[in-house]
Amino acid sequence: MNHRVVITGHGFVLPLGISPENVLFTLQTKNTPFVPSIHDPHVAVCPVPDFDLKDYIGRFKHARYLSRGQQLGLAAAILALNDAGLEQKQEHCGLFLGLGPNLEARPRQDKALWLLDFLPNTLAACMAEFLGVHGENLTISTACAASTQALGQAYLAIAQGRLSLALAGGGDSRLCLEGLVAYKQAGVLATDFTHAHQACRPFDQSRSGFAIGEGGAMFVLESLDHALKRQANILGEIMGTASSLDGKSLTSPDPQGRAACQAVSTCLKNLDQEELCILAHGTGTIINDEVESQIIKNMAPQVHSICAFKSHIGHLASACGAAELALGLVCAKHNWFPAINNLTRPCDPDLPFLLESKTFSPKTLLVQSFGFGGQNACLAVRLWT
Amino acid sequence: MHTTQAIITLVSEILDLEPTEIQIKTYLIRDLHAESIDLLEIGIAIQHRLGIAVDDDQLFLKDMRMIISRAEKDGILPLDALHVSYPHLSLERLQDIVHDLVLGPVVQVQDLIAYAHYALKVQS
Repeated sequence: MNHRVVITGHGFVLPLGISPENVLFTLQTKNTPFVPSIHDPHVAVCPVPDFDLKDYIGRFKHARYLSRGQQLGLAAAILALNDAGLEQKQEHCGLFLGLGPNLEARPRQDKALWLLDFLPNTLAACMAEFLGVHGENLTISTACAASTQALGQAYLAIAQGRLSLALAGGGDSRLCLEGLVAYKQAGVLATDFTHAHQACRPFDQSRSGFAIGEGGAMFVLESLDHALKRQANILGEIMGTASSLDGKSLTSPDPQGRAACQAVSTCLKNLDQEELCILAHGTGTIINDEVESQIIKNMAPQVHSICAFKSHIGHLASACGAAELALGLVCAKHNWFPAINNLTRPCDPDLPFLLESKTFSPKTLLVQSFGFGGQNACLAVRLWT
Repeated sequence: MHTTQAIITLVSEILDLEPTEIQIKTYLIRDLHAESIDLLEIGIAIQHRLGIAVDDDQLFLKDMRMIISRAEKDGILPLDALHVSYPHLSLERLQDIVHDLVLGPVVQVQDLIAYAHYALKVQS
């Protein structure tokens, strides 16, 4: 690990907005983007309003092979490059994507290459062609841990000196009928609510499941030397990453959270917990939040605050970690973090969950993502001052 | 007219263009920069939407140079050989195509329309 790695740009297309200003405004005005699903009014969803990929890239014929989630990721990548002040056509830029399956893909009589709808690396191929990035790349499909792990892999590639610049993150959308039915049958959705914004209740004793969100979030990562040389605006420095696998259940986390604890402790090594804000996975499912609370209690007993952005944007599946890091960076820059929505009776009264919105300046953010299959990933980011 | 419009519509959808940018004499590859995967999609879409069997090699005149070269070797008039292989194209159009070959890929939207018309006629 010879090279320090910094974040020099972020781009996101989220239910809360596409710029730091409108994201912050929506969070502060509590203008909730949750609505009942058009497929089932008993399920709460959090859509990105009025998204059209053409608004970001103009004409792009290969978009016909991209799922909505992948299109959100592509739009976010364009915004991230702009934010970093980089031209497209970064020949040696790496590309690390965390993606999920395209649940709407089907064999089709009217589409010659419907196979591309299924292949998880179709987005990488499109990004390489459209953005002109041709370096080391990886498409990671580790469920809800995917985009966090993609960021971690990009960090490692730069830290180890294989790359000096990389794009990393993800995009996902499961608001379609197939996604909704799949989650409903798995029994992970909140359905006991009167208003859609009350569905997702992370870490509350009354929690009953998650609400489905969608969006894309991408980051530009570079070696510190590379960033300083081009006088880039540095948002934060990645201090560590780790991933692990429970091996206990195909869906639920290990109730003991052993492998997840290992990942979190690796990530937290050498970090001062008293100025740490954890961006919790916080899905609002009974088992995740219970295990995650225990993990935090064991591994980060001195943590300053715990934030749960899924209560504001829903669960973005494979893109959740990247999206939550983007929101964490926006909030940290403005020294303000929102309360966890619908959290009135915490499942663990000893943990510093954000019950009220708070003005404070954490030094470090820890993204925690725990996915189906017992996939655990985390990423520590020190804010740049 | 229905066939013409259907083909212009599907080509515009696949290449993400406005239908008004596509005329019957527009070249698929030279003007619209269609790639091999786009041709695959166009072939399948014509087959599916117009309900005709499509042979991509014939539709996109893929073997044209080989047919001409083989005819020359066998002492047959290239135009006659082309007419046998591409019965949907008129002799006049084939003559234009032969002259045009030197400038690059020759398939125009009108050739797709001619193929569809011919296939529909044979089918009925």
